[in-house]
Order: sequence, then C-alpha cells, then structure tokens
Amino acid sequence: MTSTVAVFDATAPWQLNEQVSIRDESFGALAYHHGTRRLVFLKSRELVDVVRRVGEFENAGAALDALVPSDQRGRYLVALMSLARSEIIRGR
Amino acid sequence: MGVDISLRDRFGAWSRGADLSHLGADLRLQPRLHALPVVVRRRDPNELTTSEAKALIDEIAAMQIFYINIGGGEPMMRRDFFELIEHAVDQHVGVKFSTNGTRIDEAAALRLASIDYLDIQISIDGVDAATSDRIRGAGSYDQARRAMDQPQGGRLRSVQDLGRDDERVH
Repeated sequence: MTSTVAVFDATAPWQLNEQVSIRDESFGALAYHHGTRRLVFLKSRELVDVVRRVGEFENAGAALDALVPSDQRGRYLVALMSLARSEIIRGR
Repeated sequence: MGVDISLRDRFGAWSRGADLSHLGADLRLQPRLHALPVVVRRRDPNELTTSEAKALIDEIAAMQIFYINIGGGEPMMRRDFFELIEHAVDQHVGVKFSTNGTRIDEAAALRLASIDYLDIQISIDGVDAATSDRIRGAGSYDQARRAMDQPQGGRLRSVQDLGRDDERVH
C-alpha cells in the first residue's frame, strides 16, 4: 500500500478539524486552516456537506454511504484523502 | 458606534461569489515606518477609535473573512493594539501584521507568542544595517533585529525570506 492510503482510512472515524473555518461559496465552499494558513477549495456542495458532517458518522465510509451517490463514492474517497492530508479533516 | 460606511457595502462586490479570503486593513495608525520614534508625528485624523475598529473587525468576522492583514503606519503604536488583534483572533479572524519592531520588547513578544492565528512581519530592507538604514532610517535595522531576537516563549519561529527584502517571524 502507498503512504497516501495510510493517511486516510475510510473505516476510521473522522471529523472536521476544529482549526478550520468553512465559508459557503457559489461553487461549494472555501476552507481555511488557521493553523497551517492553507486555503482549500471544496468544489461541490455535496463535498462541503460530507466535510461538515463526517463527524456525525461512525466512520468516513458510512458518511459517504449516507451523503453521496454510490456511483461517485470513489471520487469522494479521493477528495477526503486529500483533505486528510491537508488536515482539513482529522481522525477522532 | 461603528464605521460610517458599512464594510459590507464597500467590499460586497468583491466577495460576491469570489474567493475573498482576507482583507487588508489600514487602520490609519500613526507614523510612517520611516519615522523612528525620535519624531512624534500627529495622529491621522481618520484613525479609527477603539470601538470603531472593533465594529470593523465584527463586520469582517460576520463576512467570514479568514484573516486580515494590518499595515500602517506602525500598527503597534496604537495603545489598543493587543485589544484589537485579540478581538479579531477571538472570533477566528486570523491576523497578520507588519511592524518595524520598535514596540516588540520581551513582554510584547511573549504576549504575541500567546496569540493563536497571528503572523508577524518585521520589516528590514537589507541584510545589514548599512543597507537597511539607508531606506528606513538610522538605527532601524538594529531595532528590528532586537525585536526578532526576543525570547519568544518557544512558540515563534523565525523565517528568513532571502529572496526578498524582508524577514518574517511566525
């Protein structure tokens, strides 16, 4: 397995990092990490919803099952992986 | 109270559907940085009062601006400087500000180090006093270096940006 996979485990519980502010925009939202000073574009409303609510679910996979169409699951997994790497979401 | 023209009115056009992540704020703070404190300059008549500045920060927070850049003049000349930046950071509005460093003594450095979401740029205009002081005035380089060399509670790290004429303390 690659190291990228090690960063993000969809069977583990995740949540929005409390150091992150999210502001809704027409394209989705902007997420700003106050600690790393990084600005991240969330380019769909569905992704914004997943990022905000992932903490409500037992694990990331369950959040995707509930919030995104099953045929797009792979796409969202990749997005969450990237957001985990940039610490927008964090393990809980 | 409050600023005469709503910030939302002034910047609304920028923020509509755009990625307005931060604002530059010039709170009209005291002297030009070339002027070292030997010379006492007049206050700018447009300088905001504490409550006006706080109202401005409240509007910035309401607009969900992620951080503000504060310039000047020399922002640390304001007596309410810490009160204002803490007011911003308390509302999750990050602060970045530029200073000539003259007001950063040990106590100020420790207080700055205790504030989250704060980036400070201490300005110099050359790699040595001879170069920098030509632009910023006699003694300015040493004062900036003194500020940079303050004990910083282990929290601040210094970044030298050699590609440009400034040096940053985070």
